[in-house]
Amino acid sequence: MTLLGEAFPSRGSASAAEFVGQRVDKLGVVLAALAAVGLLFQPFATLKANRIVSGKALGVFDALPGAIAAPLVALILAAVLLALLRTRPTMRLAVGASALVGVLVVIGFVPAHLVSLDNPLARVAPASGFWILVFAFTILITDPIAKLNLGPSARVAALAAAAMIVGGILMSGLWSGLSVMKEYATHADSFWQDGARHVELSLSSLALAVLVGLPLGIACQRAPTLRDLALPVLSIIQTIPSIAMFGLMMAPLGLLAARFPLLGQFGIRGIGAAPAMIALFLYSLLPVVANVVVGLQQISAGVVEAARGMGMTERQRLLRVELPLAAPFVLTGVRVVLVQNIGLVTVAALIGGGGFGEFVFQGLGQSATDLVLLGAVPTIALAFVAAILMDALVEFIAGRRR
Amino acid sequence: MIEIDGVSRYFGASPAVENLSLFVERGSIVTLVGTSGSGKSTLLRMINRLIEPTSGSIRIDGRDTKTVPGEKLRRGIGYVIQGYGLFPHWTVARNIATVPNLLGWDATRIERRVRELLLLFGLDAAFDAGKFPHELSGGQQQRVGVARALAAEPSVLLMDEPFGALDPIIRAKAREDLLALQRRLGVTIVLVTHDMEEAIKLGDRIAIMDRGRLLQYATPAEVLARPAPGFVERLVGDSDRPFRLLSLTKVGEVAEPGEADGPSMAEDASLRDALSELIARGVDRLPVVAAGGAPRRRIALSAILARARLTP
Repeated sequence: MTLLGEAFPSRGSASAAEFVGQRVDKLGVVLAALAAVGLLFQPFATLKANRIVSGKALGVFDALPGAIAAPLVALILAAVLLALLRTRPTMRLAVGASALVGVLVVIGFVPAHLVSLDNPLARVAPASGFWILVFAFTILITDPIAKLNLGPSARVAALAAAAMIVGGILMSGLWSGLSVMKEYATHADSFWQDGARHVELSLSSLALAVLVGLPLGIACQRAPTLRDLALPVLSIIQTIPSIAMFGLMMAPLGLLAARFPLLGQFGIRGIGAAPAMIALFLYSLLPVVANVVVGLQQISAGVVEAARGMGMTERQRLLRVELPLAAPFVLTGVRVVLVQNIGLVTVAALIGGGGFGEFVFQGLGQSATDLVLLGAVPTIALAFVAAILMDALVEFIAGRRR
Repeated sequence: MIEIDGVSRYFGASPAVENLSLFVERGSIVTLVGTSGSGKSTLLRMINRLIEPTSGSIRIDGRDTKTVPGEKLRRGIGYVIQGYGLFPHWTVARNIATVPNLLGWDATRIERRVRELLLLFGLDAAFDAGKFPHELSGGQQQRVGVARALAAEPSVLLMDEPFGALDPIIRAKAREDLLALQRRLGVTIVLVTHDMEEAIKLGDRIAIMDRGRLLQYATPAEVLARPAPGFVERLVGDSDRPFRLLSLTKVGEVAEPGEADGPSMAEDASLRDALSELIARGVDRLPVVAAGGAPRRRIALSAILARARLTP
């Protein structure tokens, strides 16, 4: 192409195509289209007379006073134009972040514009246009972050910055007029209780899985017969749907509690936290065990031979050489389990396990979308934060050696 | 001193090493040479009991290795393998300190010993000690591997293809360094190789193995001059054999009194080097200089050819 270009320097119709090829970002085109759809053809917010009835969809200029809507549209247009051009990743990151923060802040001004303060029943919720804009600008942020190839500590710092922005908006009360936050206001006590239970269930089942999975993984790596038996069994457990699994837990534990009432006093019953915990533990075993096995197997035979030849005992070899070298793999397994458990705990609410799933299922039962969101959004946030932190930890440990 | 006495090792019904006896003198280098599957590595690994002999006994400095727990035995024997098996998550210094740490030396003694070894192996004590193995060149990794094996001052060093992962130029240098080191420390070395050239260059004696049996155990000169019939003969019997023989003898041993013109040869150059020089210059004698200003002598083509003859 460049050869031809040099041989025939005349610029004609080719220059427009060339300009597009060289200066226009392909992802930017997709994002611009997405943002245009979100802004022009989808409602920015909905207004409902109360939490159950279906609402009225409103565009940006209907939902907001002109003095706020106009700058927002200008900001979005500027961001879209810059996203279309090929610019440095830091530039794209800055553009995406300011547009995203702009959209997140402005949604907070909608309720005051639409609803008078003496109408506590009316609900204002973000609508599809808002979500599409948030999605488009999130992609605009994640793409340059991936390109910048940030180190683990920089990624954690970026996460902290994002958390501070969202936390700041929440604390400021800017969003308190929004329907999800109104649901929060009525459920504030149980929200934190269920949140703590959610984290507790995710972490304790993970801890139990590591406690059992680590020795089991080591044994599997040492004894191929055990491995050939254990890994298929654990994979089959993984294929059981979560609702079926929670159901399966109820019967034996219920019988057990009926036979030995003492167990019931320790919380081991057909419903509640105990069956949820056991089910989550069973799901967690495969990723932990499989990653321990892989982590131990990838260690070069020479290293193991040298450890033996230097006169290390079996135990010294395991603790000083093999487990440290397998650690990044084991932690990858832990990451998978943690994110998976945070999601699965939601379903555990069905058998009285508690957690954010309580709001999801209550909301589903009452057809109250906002209540569903009150459970779903924190769950997603938790999983997201856990994934980023664990990834950073794995990279941090693996990066210090190799 | 290592005494290997009627040692066999069976894997299932097939023997890897069969009724093999070998005596390694204190402070000497013995090279175990053979094709893959000859049992040479199995024999080496039976010395430090990474593999237990099925029958027979091995004594190191008069002591039966079976009387010591395996781990304790191995902490007292240096071990170097192909690819070195350095611990990738430990610094160079900590790698070298592996055995002293296992033996429970105190920190200052370990630090002093590590510094000493880094110096001995031409590594920068301040700069290289904190590096991780992947940050070193192949040659440096090899030296760290040997330094780690020698850290606790073992009297015996076992090496399994220690130069196999090096490129040819660095390999030659590493062999020279090992010889110099061995002379300096007086450590007994058993070295496994599949390379006859290496076995001849490094070994005070060569043990040639095939299918678990010892076919010949002799000095390099004897193996080249009188190879055991059959496998050994084929192993050493290529066109290079006269040259290998020449490379074992120094110019000083063959030089005769008299004068000659041209650039002079050093007394400790090999006959192979001298022959190459004579051919290159197109002459049949060259002067020889002694280190201590001894009377002038010369090296003659005819004397070299006489030494290269395989049946004296």
